[in-house]
Amino acid sequence: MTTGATSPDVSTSQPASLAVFTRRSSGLVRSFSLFDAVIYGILAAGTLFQLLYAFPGPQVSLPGLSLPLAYLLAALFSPAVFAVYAALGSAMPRSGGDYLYQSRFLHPALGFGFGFAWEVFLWVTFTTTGALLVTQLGLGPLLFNLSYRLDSPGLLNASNWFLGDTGFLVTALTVTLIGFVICLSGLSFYGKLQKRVLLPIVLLSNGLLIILLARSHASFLAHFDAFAAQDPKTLKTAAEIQAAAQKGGFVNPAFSLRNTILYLSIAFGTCYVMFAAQGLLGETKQASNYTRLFRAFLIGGVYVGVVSFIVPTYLFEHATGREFANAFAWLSANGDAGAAGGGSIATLAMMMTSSPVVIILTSLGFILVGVYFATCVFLNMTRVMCAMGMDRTLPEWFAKVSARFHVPANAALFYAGLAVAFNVLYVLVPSVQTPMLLGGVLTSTGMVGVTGLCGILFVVRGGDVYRSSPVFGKKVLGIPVPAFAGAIALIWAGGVTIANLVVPDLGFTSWAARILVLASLALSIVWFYAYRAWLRARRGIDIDLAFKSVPPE
Amino acid sequence: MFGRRNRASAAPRTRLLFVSDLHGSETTFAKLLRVLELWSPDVLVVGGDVAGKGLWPVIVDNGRRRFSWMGEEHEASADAYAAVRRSALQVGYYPLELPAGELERVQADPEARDAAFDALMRERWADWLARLDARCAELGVHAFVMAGNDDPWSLDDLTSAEREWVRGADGKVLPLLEDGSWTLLTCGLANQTPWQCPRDVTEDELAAALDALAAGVPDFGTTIANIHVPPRGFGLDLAAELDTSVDPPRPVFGSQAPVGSSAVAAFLRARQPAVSLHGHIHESGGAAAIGRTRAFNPGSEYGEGILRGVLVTLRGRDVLGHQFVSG
Repeated sequence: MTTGATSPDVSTSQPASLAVFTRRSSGLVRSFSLFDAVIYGILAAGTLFQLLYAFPGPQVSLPGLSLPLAYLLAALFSPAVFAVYAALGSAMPRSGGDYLYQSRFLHPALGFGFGFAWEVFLWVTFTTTGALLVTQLGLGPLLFNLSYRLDSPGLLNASNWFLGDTGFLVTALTVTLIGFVICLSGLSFYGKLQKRVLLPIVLLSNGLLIILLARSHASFLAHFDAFAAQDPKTLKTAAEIQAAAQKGGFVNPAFSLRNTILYLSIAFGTCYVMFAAQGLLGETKQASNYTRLFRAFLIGGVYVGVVSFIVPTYLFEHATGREFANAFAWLSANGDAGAAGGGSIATLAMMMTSSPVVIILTSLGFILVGVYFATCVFLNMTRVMCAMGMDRTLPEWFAKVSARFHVPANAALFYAGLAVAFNVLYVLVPSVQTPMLLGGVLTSTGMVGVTGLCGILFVVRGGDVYRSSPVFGKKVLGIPVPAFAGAIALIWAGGVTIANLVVPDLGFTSWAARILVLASLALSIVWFYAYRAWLRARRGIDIDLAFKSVPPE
Repeated sequence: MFGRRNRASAAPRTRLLFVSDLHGSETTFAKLLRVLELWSPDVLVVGGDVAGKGLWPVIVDNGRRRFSWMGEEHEASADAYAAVRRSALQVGYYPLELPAGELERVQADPEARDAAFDALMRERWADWLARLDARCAELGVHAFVMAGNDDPWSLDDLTSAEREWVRGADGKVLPLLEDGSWTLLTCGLANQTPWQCPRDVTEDELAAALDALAAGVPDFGTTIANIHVPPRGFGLDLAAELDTSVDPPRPVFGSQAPVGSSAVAAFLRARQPAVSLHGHIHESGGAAAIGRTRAFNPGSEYGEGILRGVLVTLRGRDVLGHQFVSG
């Protein structure tokens, strides 16, 4: 049974083997590989997804910003974030992610508060975001472009329907249902799905988007005008758009470093390659290997940062020309740019081809990423709720694993109900739309900041958990890696979070938005203490035990 | 204020700590000794699979040590080796520290290798039992230990030896508390696994063993069934499906299946003990209700040096609550 290399230093006729001899015993179990986790992270970090936010909104609210520069800045900071999550994840390779780290190293009440309010509760808005992605970057542009390529008014009507309230709500409920069903099917089913279907199509779509945008400004204008010529009564040429914008008072803004930095509140989401830590590390092989985990996050981060965002946004700005892009965005916000189909990067890119096949393949990636987003939230948040249920910070009901589906079905059911309620609210109450759309992104960044703080506390308060972790002894400039990287993540992500709450340009400074973020946090903390007191008195359970570090004998 | 308390609610609470599948991990066992104070249980039940799985060859050469760790071979001073040795003990390995010639001799002879492995397993288990007994005596905690399907039969004489605070419970029905108000039924056997472990038996044999134990139970309403393998089909037994065409079996990516015992499931359905405690499937920790029986599997992360357990609070004849804990 003994295998493996022999020691070259032992000079005998039959050298002793240094390989571990393993007796017959039942064993091991983790079935996700780090490669699977990378794929999961790439998709979770939003390959294509962030393009929903990239145009035309920011060009109006943050005039003069440079999209590729913002994504480049985000990419430069992201290794610090990956280092923190790899350090904490390899020390505690379990499901639960931010909740696990914050409840153990910051404070149980804060860990639960942030975990429930800023992840479980507010990330349900990602089902809304996923549906918007499907409609505004997928179905809307697809049907809009096909309607002209195939000369079908019916497709144009269908495009407009999906971009309206009813179409959005139907899409959102469908996306939620799909996420729920895949969640019930289990992580293993999802693992097969992401590798065999989702990733290839998304990569193809991402590649086609780059090819469509890789052109000169003159070529872009020529294709844009050729598209508009198909329906001169409805669609405007590039020159007509610029003229209409100038007539309305549009002035092309100069480059703004301030607004580029403020866009980090969105661009930061590309760091979420380490999203796998939330739900998968308990099932991932070699998750306790810091170096490999960091490398896995980094590979995913480089892909997402460069291929999904820096390159496409650079090509987009280069092809459209900043002045035309700004005028188009300004006109979209103030009137009619004459381009339906969402007026998005996807719409403009699809105008560059007359091939229905290319249009379909390009939009398919956006549609799948949108559906994926809802699914990803379901998969991860049900496991976080399950971890909370196991700790008894939530009722045991949430941790119950269905004997039929082999997944935390109660948590999934709760989440489906919450998602339906949020999506109906989104359609019925327009004033909550911006807070909801940005809420998940903002709190994602906020969670990274708080976990960055946990990286510092891990070194200070981690005790034996830190000393026995694989990152122990690794230093940068004489500072332990988790503390060094944690400080960068805290300053950066914390700064972005505070900016979101105080800078009006970012659209999150309404009272509705602040109440959503801060009141949900306060209520979650109140729940923690009330439920803890009830459990202690009525069930003999002291949930503080779940969070105490246990030093060896 | 709102009425008289019934007799049960006035009864004192008893806190039971259940841990399982330590697999020779020194760090995890050391934490167990620590939590007997931190988590303050009145009773401890250790649910089997106490022996480690790997024999770790280390060549001793004039104060230097040569060994393989994390896929790479190292030569180190005794001090540097000590740090790696701690990590090896954390994952439950048994260092076999010998000069090169002697190591070759042991490796060349399967019987000598197995004997060396067995001796090291016995040595660590004997050490653990002694330390656990001393700790329980210090804190006044009664403990029950047993073997699991992975544990060789050669450990049994150590497990069942007479001690004041730590009792060998395998294959027995014992009073859990001194007043006899609760009963502990213990069985370390498991249904057949692809690894053909020492205590793997057929479902029929397992059912017969459980029935034989049941005959000695006075009241299942106040009985805790400590059965190493979880019941099949209640979410406590989900593991990666295995490709048994290779040796050792290999997990099939993306495919999970229940691998618990149908005999245990039938036993729990029919007898309805108040609580059932299980281990065996490390990645399938959780709680389940099987009729009136509350079944628990705390899972295991011994390889990471993490102790996982479940605290069950009893009061009178009632199971008041439970809580999963880890450290």
